Amino acid sequence: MTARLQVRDLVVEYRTRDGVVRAVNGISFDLHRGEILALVGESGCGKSATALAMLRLIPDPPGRIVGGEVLFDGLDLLKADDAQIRAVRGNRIAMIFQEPMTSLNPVHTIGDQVGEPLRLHRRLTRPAAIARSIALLGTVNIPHAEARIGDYPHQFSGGMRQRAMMAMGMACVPDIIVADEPTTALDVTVQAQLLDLLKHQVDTHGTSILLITHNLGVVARYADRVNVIYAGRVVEAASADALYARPTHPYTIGLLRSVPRLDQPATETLAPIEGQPPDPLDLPAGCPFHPRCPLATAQCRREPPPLRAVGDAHHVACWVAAHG
Amino acid sequence: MGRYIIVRLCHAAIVLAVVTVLVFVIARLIPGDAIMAAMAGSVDMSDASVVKTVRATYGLDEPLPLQFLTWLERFVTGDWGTSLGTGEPVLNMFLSRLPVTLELFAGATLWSLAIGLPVGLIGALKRNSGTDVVLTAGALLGVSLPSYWEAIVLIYLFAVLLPILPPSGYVPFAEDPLLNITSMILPSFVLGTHSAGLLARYVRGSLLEVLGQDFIRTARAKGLRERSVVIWHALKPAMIPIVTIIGLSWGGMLAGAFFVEVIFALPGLGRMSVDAIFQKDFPVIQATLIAVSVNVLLVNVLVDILYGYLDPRVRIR
Amino acid sequence: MTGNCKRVLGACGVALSIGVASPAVQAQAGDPSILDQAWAIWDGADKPVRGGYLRLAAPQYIGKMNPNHWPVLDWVSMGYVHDKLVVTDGSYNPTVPWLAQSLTQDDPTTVIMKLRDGVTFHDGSRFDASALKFQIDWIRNPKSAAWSAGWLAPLESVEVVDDLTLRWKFKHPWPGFAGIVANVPGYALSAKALREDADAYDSQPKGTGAFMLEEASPGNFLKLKRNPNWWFAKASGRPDMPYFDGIHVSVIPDPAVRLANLRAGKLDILTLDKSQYAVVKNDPNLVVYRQPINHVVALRFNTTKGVFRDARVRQAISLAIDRKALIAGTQFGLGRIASALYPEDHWAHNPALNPVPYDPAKAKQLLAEAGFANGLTIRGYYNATTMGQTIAEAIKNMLAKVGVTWQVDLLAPVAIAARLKERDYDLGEGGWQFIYDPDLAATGLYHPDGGFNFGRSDNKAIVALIEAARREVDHKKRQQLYWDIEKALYDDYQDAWLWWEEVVTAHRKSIKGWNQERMTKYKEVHFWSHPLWFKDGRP
Repeated sequence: MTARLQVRDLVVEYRTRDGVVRAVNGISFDLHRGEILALVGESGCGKSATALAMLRLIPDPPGRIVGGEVLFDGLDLLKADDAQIRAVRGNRIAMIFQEPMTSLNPVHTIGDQVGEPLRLHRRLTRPAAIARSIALLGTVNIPHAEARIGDYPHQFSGGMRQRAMMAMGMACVPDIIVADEPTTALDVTVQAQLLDLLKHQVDTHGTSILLITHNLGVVARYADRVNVIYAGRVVEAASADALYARPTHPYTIGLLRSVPRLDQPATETLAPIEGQPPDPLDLPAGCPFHPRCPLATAQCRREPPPLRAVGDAHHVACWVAAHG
Repeated sequence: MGRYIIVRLCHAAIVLAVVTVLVFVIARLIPGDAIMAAMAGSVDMSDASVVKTVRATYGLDEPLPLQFLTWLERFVTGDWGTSLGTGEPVLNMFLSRLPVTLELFAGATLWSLAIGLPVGLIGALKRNSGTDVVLTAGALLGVSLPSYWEAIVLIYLFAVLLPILPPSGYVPFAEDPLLNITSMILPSFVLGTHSAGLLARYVRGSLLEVLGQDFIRTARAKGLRERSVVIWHALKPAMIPIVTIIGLSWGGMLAGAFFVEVIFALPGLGRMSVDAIFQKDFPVIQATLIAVSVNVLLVNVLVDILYGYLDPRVRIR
Repeated sequence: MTGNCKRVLGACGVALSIGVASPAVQAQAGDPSILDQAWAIWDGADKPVRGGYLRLAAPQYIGKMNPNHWPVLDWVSMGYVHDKLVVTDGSYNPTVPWLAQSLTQDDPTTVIMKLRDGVTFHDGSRFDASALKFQIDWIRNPKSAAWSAGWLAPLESVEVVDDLTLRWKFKHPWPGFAGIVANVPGYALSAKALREDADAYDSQPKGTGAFMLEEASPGNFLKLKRNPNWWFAKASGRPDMPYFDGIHVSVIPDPAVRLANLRAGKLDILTLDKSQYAVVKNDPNLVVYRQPINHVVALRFNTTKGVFRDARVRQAISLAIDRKALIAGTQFGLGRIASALYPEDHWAHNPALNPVPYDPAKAKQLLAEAGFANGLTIRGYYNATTMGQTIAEAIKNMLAKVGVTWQVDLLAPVAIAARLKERDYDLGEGGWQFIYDPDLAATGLYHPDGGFNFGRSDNKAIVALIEAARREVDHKKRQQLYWDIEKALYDDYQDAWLWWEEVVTAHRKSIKGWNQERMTKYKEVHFWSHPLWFKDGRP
């Protein structure tokens, strides 16, 4: 079965005062119907840039999509014309952003903003859109939705704002929802509620979710498949179960070790990964992880490793770990 | 909201009271014998008794606190004294000149918006393009051009070379609406271009700042065309600081209005104020300073109220 | 002038009729006492035509319209509305009977004034002896707050002799009397209006002038309309005068904008800024004239304090100034080099005096003699206008060339007044404007009691001459006294007189009746007796 979305060799650069940064350095993945795919990595590893690039939302200047393909429904979104990409945005592929306070327009009501995609893509009248928005707010468990539809974003709590954003994203029943750090600003219980809502979408409509996060706990619980991103590249791609059971890339191993676990003895210390994430202006030659890798070899320092299969739908980009 | 307004008005009243006393004292502290100096230009002063007569008429020999109380009592009841410079009752002077200056301000604000808003908008949307550079230079030019020179050039262009507008002067609207409007075109243009340049820069800056906000990205992610993003999502938040700037610029417009009123021979408040200052015309100076303070304070209060109205975040407190 | 019946008027030696010709005769033929005078010539190819409003501009609004109240800022408009008792002739001598038909010196302290018959104020009331007496008493009443009361100080009383005759009694001989009634106190104001509401007179004047108030918009414009009963029209036998239907004076503060208005056809006559002369004189639509006026521009020495007590130093300064270059460089060549205090066309001017030459070598020599061979630093002031700055800079440079450093402060009038009072200067801006009666300038500048002197000049001999001239009733003797005063001031280098002023006027070619030659010759009397008109009666 062909994937709903196919990203191939995506490269995104940012021009800064000090030079050109390659935020996304050849990322590829597939996203299937009814699947939750997590993109995991540290801040600045390029996962958000990947998501933005898919919908051509990279601000230009200073950013630029330099190469690659994003194939969706027979169309390369990177080469589509303006009308085509706009028809996809908010309609077939919707994005839910982190920081809901700044991602919502402070001078327009929640109702107007949630109903906007409906008016745009479904040509609903304002009253119809408002009615539909009230219903949507209901589905994301915002109480007294009818009374609150005329409120402004600052009158909602953080969690409610995020849910409103979610309602906005779900309004046109998109094929794909891209959720960029949807839970970062929220507390744990609210996080769970939101992610359950997303899961519900998947179950009822077969929506695909691209979940961008650095929260490994969330990934473990909700993701079907995981891509680990480091320095703009995919270093490990596997099912969630496989990733947690058999982490292969040294970076993945390091990540998992640095996360506290409930079943860990309290006396055991966390083991952070040695060193710092690489300076994006001055990426090391060869494998980007080699300066911090306990297994680094001469070849690692020379050549960046390709993704190679190490199991059933389990790929790793490592000279050492993917040996054989 | 009501309480908010009342608090602002109370602040304003206190400031006004302090200003009143300061104004009175400062006007009296000017060195030199004001009367003699003012009269010396127009009349032979070889007789000291002449000076004495005039001083007594204006009560300038009384002790200062008494002068202040007398003045305050009269001021509040509408007797603003008579001008030392022209002999008119100050209240009449003020009331007859107020509509001229108000009309000038209104016209200048209109020009300022008509030029500043589009220039700023285009500058923000076509940031760093050739058009933006040209427009930025134009805005700087508008701010830097001395209004005196600009005025004379325009008068010669449009009143002498191509006689389509009157070169100077003012006629009340009720008397001749067409002449009133045509007489105001050049003066309000000169006053307006000065702040248009500034306004354009503010609009550009404000709009650029708003366009960099996350909610603009959200709007684009919903599939809106760029034009809709700008008009529906960016303009309203961008205009909030602009509205306050326009309001606040009214306070500063009086200084620019002086030049324009002198050059175009408009009998307005700006000219009256500065003539009074040069002639050490106490009654007029006092009345004008208080009027100006009231104007600035009122505008500030209005701007605060307007801001609260426009920005829902401020409103609901 | 000889004879028991001393006459103050009649310099042309014509026996004056008392003006008792019947009104009917006057209406057709005019008054011989007017028509016999040298300036009473109205020839010219163009016939005057009535019609149109003359459009003028003034830098400031007139202010108060009672000439005895301060401030009055537009004396031209004042003269359109009010006539004076006496008017000055071409040498600024108050010899021309105007509303007063004759002034006769009865004895040294008494003058009999006969008034013209058939003159009415704008409110219809009659101009007669009792009206004039009321006015004079009103001026002298302190409650009237008339600043001009000071000018009438020598007056003891004014009495009505008959309907048209007044007896003026002075406390002492007062030769300056005619000059005073040719000036501010001599404007005839309607006694009826003063009686009814003297305060309202400031904005509702009722004179006898050629024009009366139509509409006043303070700060904006002044509109006057023709007085159909103007006495001079009848007296001159020209009942169509004045020819303009009215006069509209706009207030336009900026000189460049005034000129723009003239060129755009919105004004008819305009006094130009000197800087505009060169630009405008070749404009085909305009006629441009230069006119001498009775202002002297000078530098004032503090002769009683500091280095200028030494006359040699004063002389050196005067010699160090290149007057011709100064006029050329700062006045666009418009000005007449001055030799002394009174302008060359003024009767009090001593024609034997020549301007101080430009001789920097001699200046240095004199400075060395006085002990300043190595240079000298002096302090002073000049007015803070643009023109003042220009002149001060130029003079400063000229003085520097002979080793004199002039620390000149550019000050506002208030500050200058303070300096004068304290005599806190060596060299400052001097001069005098509107020189009519010579005593005003002489006393003001060189008598210790003078309003601008404060004792900075105190030459005993000159003071004595000034006081004598104030009392000398015989005009010829008085004139000689002023010539002597001028010479004494000149020999003593009491001040450095720079130039006598000129003004430049331009009018549109549609204005008719202007005779430059006679204007220069007869000045004030020519101006008021020869109203202008529009070609075809339209602007």
